[in-house]
Amino acid sequence: MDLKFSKEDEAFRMMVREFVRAAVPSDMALRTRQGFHSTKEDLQTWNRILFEKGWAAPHWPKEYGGTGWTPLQIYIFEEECAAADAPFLSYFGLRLLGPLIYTFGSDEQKAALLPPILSGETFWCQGFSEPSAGSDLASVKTTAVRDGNEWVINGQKIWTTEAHYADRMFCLARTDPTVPPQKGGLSIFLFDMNAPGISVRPIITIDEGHSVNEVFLDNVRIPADAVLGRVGDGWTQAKFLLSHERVSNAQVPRSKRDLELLKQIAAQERAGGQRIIDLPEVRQRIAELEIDLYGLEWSVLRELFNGHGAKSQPIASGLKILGSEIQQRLSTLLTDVLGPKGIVLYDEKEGSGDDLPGNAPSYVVGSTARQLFLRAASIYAGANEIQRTIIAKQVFNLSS
Amino acid sequence: MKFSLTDEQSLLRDSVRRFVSEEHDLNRQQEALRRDARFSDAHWNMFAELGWLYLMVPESAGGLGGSAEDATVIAEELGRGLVGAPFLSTAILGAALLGAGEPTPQRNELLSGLMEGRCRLALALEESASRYEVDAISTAAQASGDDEIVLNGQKVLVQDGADADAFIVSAIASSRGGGISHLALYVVPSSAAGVEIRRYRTIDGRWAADVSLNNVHLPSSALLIPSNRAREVLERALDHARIILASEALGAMEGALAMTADYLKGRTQFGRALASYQSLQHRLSDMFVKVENARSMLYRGLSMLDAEPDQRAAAVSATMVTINQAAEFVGSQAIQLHGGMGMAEEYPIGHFYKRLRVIGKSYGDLSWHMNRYTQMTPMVEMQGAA
Ligand SMILES: Cc1cc2nc3c(=O)[nH]c(=O)nc-3n(C[C@H](O)[C@H](O)[C@H](O)COP(=O)(O)OP(=O)(O)OC[C@H]3O[C@@H](n4cnc5c(N)ncnc54)[C@H](O)[C@@H]3O)c2cc1C
Repeated sequence: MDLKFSKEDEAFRMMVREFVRAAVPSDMALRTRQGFHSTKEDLQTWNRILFEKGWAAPHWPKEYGGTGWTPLQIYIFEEECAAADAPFLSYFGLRLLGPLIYTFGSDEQKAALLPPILSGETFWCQGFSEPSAGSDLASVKTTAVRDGNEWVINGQKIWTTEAHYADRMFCLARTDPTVPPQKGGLSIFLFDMNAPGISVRPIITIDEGHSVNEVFLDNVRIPADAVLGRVGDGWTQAKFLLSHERVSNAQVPRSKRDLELLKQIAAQERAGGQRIIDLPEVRQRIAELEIDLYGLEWSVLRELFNGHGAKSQPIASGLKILGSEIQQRLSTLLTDVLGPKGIVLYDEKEGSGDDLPGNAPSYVVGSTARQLFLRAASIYAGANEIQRTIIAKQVFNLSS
Repeated sequence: MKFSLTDEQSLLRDSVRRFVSEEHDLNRQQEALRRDARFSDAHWNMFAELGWLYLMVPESAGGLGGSAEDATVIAEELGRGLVGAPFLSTAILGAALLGAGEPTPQRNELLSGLMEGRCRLALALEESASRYEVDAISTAAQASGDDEIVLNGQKVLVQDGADADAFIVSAIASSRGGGISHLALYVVPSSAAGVEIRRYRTIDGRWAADVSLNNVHLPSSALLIPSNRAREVLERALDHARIILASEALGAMEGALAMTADYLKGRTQFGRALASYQSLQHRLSDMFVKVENARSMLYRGLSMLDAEPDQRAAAVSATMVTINQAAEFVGSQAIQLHGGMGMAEEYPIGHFYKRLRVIGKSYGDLSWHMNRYTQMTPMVEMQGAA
């Protein structure tokens, strides 16, 4: 065992830090700190900056545009990006579909689809969940029927993040109703969001923000080769993807940054002349969070090195549970530190900063909205109850 | 001891329930509140007609002189339905503070207006630096001439302040001859010259306001509670109001829990009702246990409202700590068990969580109550004496 970052790792960190700190535009950094749903423009801009540097997808294999860094270096990179308040690049192309394509896609698909994801030219959304198929994803009802040289897609997707500005969707659909969905009945399709027959309706969430949507697919005709990899491989692909989603959902770099900001704010807020950070119970809550975050970080580091062991899947599930809970606790503690000001949304309309309701300082902007939105962290990417079921099944061989 | 409602209280509860089921619609209310910084006049008039605004006004002023228990019956049902009325500000705090004032003609006129639904009140205590401490304020009241008072200061986060006809304002009264300055309460019409109101929504969809007082000249009759007893009257009214809020929270928790149980029974995943999964059954059970415990603490708090101020403060804070913790758990788990649906603004369940969070930060939050409780409860001495 060697439980220290090496000199090379530290040098790497400095190199990344120097670039990233200078590269993030300051207005973009402020927006990231506030934590609202990123605009497409910010995502594109930051994606292009990293792409030009060759760093848009460090976690991809080198041959497809990755950096060839070690897992630890990738982790250091993500930490430095978060510390510099860089926006979190759109998940769906870079984190989800990209790995799907280089793992399952045809050579043509790899050649055609990976480069525009890398450069940020094409934004994707994930059309998996449906009104009656959430945790039970295999029960999706959207159908894809072959008609000559085309597929015809019909159905409804829900909670589709970024569908309102994505260029394309990867969509889980039923291709063979005669076999069980898990045994060859499902496939993933790749198509343009402006294809005729697609309509997108916004869903406003409890933070009064707009990031998710309903998507209606009404006789959407797409070319025969728009299926990812082989017809019938949809369930294998979806399962691969859901396990990928979970590791990054630990969100350690972001939470470390949030903890830092929380401390700064708690040092500025006052109660009766006393700094909030000096109140014993606030100190204790911050300390508890910090300790739990260390635990999570070291679990992630372990996982980075032992990534493909037998326990990998249940550990990823555990990371998702802990990571989402820490995000929720951090954002809740922040709004609690704000005291009575925590009853105001302080949304984007109030973002200017120096004339806020309640005479509040500019650092409140976004805090309450983010606290509310993060209730979703234990629901999306596989609800935490489902993660627990996975652990029970895979570690202890139990089924419900 | 007896925990059941009296016949009158049962009737009262039924009338509020009838209002909630027949007149109130959450989506319509939230829609209307988005457009208009004002709870429906038609509904507020019903509050008056049904006598709910008379309830807490002293009999000597033409009210019913009801008890805190009576008021909790109303608040609980309003909480269950998430009714966004300025009930606490006007009918509880307003009635209590006006009721404690000298029976001047001005005060009596305000109270009649309150009972008839013509006059909505809001309590303006909070300032940038106060964080729930009623005397950490700098708004100043200066006597001017023989019969005038001039108010200067900046109040923030005044709940129900956006459409109030008058504010009850805390200020430091300084007498002309100098001497010690003390907290006193004043009535300030929202239309008075020099009153500037900035309106904004809170996360529960209701409205609050920042109220600037710039050289507001008022007749001396604007003094509602003089400094020799303002602190005591205010603390008492606030402790009563906290308990009423606790019962609103309790109603909201029960409402959220019932809705969640129904949802789990109706939703199928993996070919089974979600309610058939034991892990989810246990979650509902945990929520139930917390709600029942919170109700017990509500009653304990109610029972101590007439105790000595220190004991009352400790008991009320103990209730509020329990309520706050239960509300966070029940509200957030109600969302969790709804899955994605819990996150949709159009769906009611998230509104329970948001209202509960606002309640948890009104007139004290978890840390404020915990702190007040420990200050009022000499644990070390008690141990030493044993
Ligand atoms: C903000 C947000 C963004 C999202 N983005 C996307 C996206 O981009 N693309 C996409 O396809 N989907 C997306 N989703 C959907 C998300 O994946 C689903 O919400 C999630 O899988 C849960 O499904 P559901 O909402 O139908 O809840 P349900 O499956 O109905 O679950 C309701 C509750 O029951 C629990 N439960 C369900 N089954 C069991 C069981 N067997 N045992 C114990 N407990 C159980 C769940 O954990 C949950 O608490 C998003 C969701 C949110 C909230």
